[in-house]
Amino acid sequence: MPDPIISPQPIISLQPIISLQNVDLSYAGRALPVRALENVSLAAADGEFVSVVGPSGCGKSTLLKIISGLLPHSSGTVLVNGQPVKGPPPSIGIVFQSPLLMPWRNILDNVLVQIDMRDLRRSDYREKARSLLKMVGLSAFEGAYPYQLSGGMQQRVGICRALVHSPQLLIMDEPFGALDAMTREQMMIELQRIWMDQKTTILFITHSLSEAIFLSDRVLVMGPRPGRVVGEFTIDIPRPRRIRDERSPAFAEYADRVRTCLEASGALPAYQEATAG
Amino acid sequence: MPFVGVGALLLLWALITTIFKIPDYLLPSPISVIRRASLEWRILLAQTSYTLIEIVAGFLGSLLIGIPMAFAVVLSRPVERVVLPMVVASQAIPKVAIAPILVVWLGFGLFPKIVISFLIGFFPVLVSTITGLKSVETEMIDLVRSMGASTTKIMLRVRLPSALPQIFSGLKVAIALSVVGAIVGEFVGADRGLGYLLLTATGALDGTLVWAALLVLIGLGILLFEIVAAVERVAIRWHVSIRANDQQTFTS
Repeated sequence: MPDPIISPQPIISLQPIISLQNVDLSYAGRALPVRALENVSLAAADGEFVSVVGPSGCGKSTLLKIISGLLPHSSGTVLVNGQPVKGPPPSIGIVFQSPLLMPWRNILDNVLVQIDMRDLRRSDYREKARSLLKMVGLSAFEGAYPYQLSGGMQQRVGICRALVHSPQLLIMDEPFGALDAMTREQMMIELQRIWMDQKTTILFITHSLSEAIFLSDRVLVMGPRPGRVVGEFTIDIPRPRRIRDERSPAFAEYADRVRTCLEASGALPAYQEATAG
Repeated sequence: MPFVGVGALLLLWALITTIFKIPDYLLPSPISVIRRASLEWRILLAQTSYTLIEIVAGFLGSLLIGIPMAFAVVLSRPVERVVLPMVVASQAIPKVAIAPILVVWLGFGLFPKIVISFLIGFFPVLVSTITGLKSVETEMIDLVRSMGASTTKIMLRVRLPSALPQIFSGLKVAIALSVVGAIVGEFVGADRGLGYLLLTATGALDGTLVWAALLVLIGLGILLFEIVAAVERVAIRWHVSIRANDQQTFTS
């Protein structure tokens, strides 16, 4: 597989895949400038699973756009794989809440959208696309069209599309937000399996505490506007984790600490967060 | 299938003319119209071929100018601000009113009819293509931009395919209006074509020939519309409007 990353020296394991230092973002509002992000610093090591949780409007998605080079930041440094972000970095894959499949393309071609848009050769990636579809149990649906698939299946196709070029960083913006509770649990298990299998760094943005704790090595808590990091928790629960582990004392302890942190930051009251998880 | 409704209408027509004994110059019975049409088929065919050329050329003009113009409007704000209002203003002028001027400018040949047909047909193509190209979710654009796609690539491989349903609905309106445009053009100044035939036959109170020409015109309109609809069914078979009858879904 060709490696599209141009790096001056071999990547050492200590070099973080994502590194944000004192990142600010403000834009002109109606009367006063609006500060969307304030002094955000974070890092994700190679192969790490990092979640960002926070209430709606805390700038989680803005953060995603800055890291993926879709939105310029006002000040501070943003590095992906050691390189300053000036446009979309070559080695990222993004999954949004909506699967965003193209209805005129069949499932295999939807996975290969990533290849077509990057001007890479389809023939080099068709096998990778097929093996990813196989990994998520969609081998039989290569030739099907998006409308023939359920929401969970469509989101799996979206994940395959984000992984087909073997990115070093996978950014997921509330990927399970639109799924029903059971499909969501199934997808959490599946994502854990994919991550353990692919060893990709994942930045997972969510408003669900249980998703964040279940999946992550590290959970970052963001406070409401202006968006800033108010807490950081290393989740030390052995893997592979099971859904029933959510009832374990260790899990409850983490959930409690993250919730306390959210409350202290002035985010949504605890009872609303409880229903979101 | 589209001809079933027309058949029923012909039957009703036949009943009305025979029951109320309506004279031919007012409303001839469909039987005498069809008999007349079979007698005059050479003339009808010749006139139809002229009108068909005008319609198809006018329609192709609206397609080949309307769609690229929509691209320009969507890609460039100045074009949208300057050109679009002019186009909208031009649509406020009734085409029948400027048809004589066009004949004076462009002569009595096919060209002024093609121009009128185009002027009527291209506006729905332009408007629906603009709507289609603009109706792509911003997240979809973010997604493909994160893959490094250029504006051109996004235009051709994301916006254009997702606009096809709207483009086709514009084209279906355009083909119907192109028929109107060609006939209007022929009414104003022509020595051939179905519109010319309609005008002369009406002048001669030749009811059966008027209705024969009208029937041919209706058939032509339906046929052309169905051709566009058939192309649409092939081009956007993935769209909800086409696959409404084929709702098979897999679930896991």
